[in-house]
Amino acid sequence: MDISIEQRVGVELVRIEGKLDFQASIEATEKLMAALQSSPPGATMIIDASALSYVSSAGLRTLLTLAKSAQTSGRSLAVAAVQPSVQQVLDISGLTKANIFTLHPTVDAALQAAGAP
Amino acid sequence: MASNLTDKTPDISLIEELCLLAIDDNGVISPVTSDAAFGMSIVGACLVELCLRGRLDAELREIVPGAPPRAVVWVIDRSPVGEPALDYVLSEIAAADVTPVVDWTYRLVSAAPNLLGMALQRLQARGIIALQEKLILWVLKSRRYPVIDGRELREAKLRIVDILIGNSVPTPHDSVLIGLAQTSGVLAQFFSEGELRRLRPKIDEVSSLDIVAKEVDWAIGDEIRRRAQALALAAGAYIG
Repeated sequence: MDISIEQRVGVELVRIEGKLDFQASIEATEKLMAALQSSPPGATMIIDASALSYVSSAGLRTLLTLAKSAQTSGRSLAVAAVQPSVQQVLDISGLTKANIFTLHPTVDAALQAAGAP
Repeated sequence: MASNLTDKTPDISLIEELCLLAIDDNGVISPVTSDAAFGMSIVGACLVELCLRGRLDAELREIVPGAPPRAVVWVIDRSPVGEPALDYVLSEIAAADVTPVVDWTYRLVSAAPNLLGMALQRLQARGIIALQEKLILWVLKSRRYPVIDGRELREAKLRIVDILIGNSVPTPHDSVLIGLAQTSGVLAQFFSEGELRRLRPKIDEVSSLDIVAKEVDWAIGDEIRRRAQALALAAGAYIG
């Protein structure tokens, strides 16, 4: 798994490539929590999931933990461009219905919703 | 911004917390603990806790071609966690192949009374509950588990209320706790029927946000449906 983080005004744009399994989720949680906490209050973290091919139950917990941390610290979380196999896992776990992060069909739509230039 | 009540994962396992929630103000264990749904919830609590502790991982897999995918679970670390109930479940799973969560829920439910006993013993050993045994009519033994200072139980209830009423995003631990407490009937211990009805949409929204817990919920629902069908058949045979 590879993670790259791009900082824009009011947005942390995170691209996750590969598989978010147990081992990868440990690294992802650490990196993304640090990025979230270092972003300005009110910022949105957008996860570009277009190259994310797999999520295990550990990966789902990473997303829920991030959403929790975002809410607690006055930031927000969005996930964009989810592949169908990952979308299925999000749907079955109930995460898509839980209103704890917003889902966008594309990264551009997520950036626009966050008001990013 | 949400309150910080629900920010941290508590220093108590899901199985311990579920058992604690099943104890009433007089230290009496709820009758729901003898139901299959509670037994399956206990198993689910162990499975999810082992995932949270990095011993198991799970994914969705298409087991029957064309049928909806099911969650399967496997061991990623065999080292014991030091809690008897969790280590028992871990050892059972470690001895098998990758297996659907539903199968584990049915397979381990017979061990649920022992898992409950192990969790209660651990709660006693940690000074969270006490054990009071009394003889009734010099023969029958009655057991009570009064909560000692009540902090853990109070915190669990406050976290649940904060999520269901205060709109906090749940931690993975709390999301599963709410789901298992709901399906096992424990939530009805401290919410009235009317409150539960009112909170139902929120409970459905935030509970069991986890593929293992969702599968355990499904297994419990399936078990309840099967029992209801068997009862209906038996009643039909009796009337007929």
